[in-house]
Amino acid sequence: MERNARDDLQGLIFATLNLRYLRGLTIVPFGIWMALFPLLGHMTRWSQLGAGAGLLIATVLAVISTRRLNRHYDERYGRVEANHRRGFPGAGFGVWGAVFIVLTVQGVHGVPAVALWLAALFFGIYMSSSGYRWYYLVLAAVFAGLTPWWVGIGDWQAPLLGLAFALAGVMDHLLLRRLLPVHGESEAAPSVA
Amino acid sequence: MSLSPVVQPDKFVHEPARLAILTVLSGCKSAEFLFLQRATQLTKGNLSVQMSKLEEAGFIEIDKAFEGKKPVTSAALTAKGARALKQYWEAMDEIRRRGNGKRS
Repeated sequence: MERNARDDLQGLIFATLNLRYLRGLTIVPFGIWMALFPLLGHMTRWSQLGAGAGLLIATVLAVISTRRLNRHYDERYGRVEANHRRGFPGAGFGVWGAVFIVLTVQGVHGVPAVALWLAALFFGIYMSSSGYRWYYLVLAAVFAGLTPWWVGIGDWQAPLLGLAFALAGVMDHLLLRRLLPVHGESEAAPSVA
Repeated sequence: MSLSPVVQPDKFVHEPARLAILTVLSGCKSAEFLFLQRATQLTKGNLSVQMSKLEEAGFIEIDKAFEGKKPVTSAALTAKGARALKQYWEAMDEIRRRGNGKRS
């Protein structure tokens, strides 16, 4: 009983500290946008619509969807004002993003393999440090495993990253739902007498 | 043989709903009523009552504002509330420490 109560309180603190980052569905449109990126690039081949116009429409749709999802989270879970600026997840995404920019610009051969592995390890451990977001460790391991073939997969780079973002977003959302379950208003709430 | 004084956690803070509210607020600058409701799983009525009690005790501050036409209530932990929560956990840790000492 005591252990459960403590676990619940730890979950509450985690959800409070990370609410902004647990609103995972907001990242899904961006992930889909990335996943569709190569498709948009080839759009001129099968449509009168130029690639630029397709990209613009997809970007606008992603932004609108993200804004709506943000509003949905506001209305469903309320908002929390953080009391301090946390490095999370900026540091994790920052390191990982920098690695992929270097990879894109220089190619995988321009980056020492050990740097890629360390970046993946840092990202995975950093994002899953609380124990609640273990799936970031799995995603990081998958990408670390993929790095030797990163150049070879060519057009699949952006879709893979996009799908990983979308998957992480869905997992974050499911975690939020588990930590802060939403019951019907008519459902009996615990007594506080 | 001398007996150490009995450690008493603050019963006001010990109440589960109030402890949950204080715990949530200890992790942020302020939180909206809706978030507190989701986090504590209390009904609106229960949450309002507990928040009022905490405000009366000086443990939290409640802010009522409007965003457009929509009323938004948020709460923040006061220094007194933060101190009470800290003392509560220190008392609980002390009780557990003494309990472990007796068992070993």
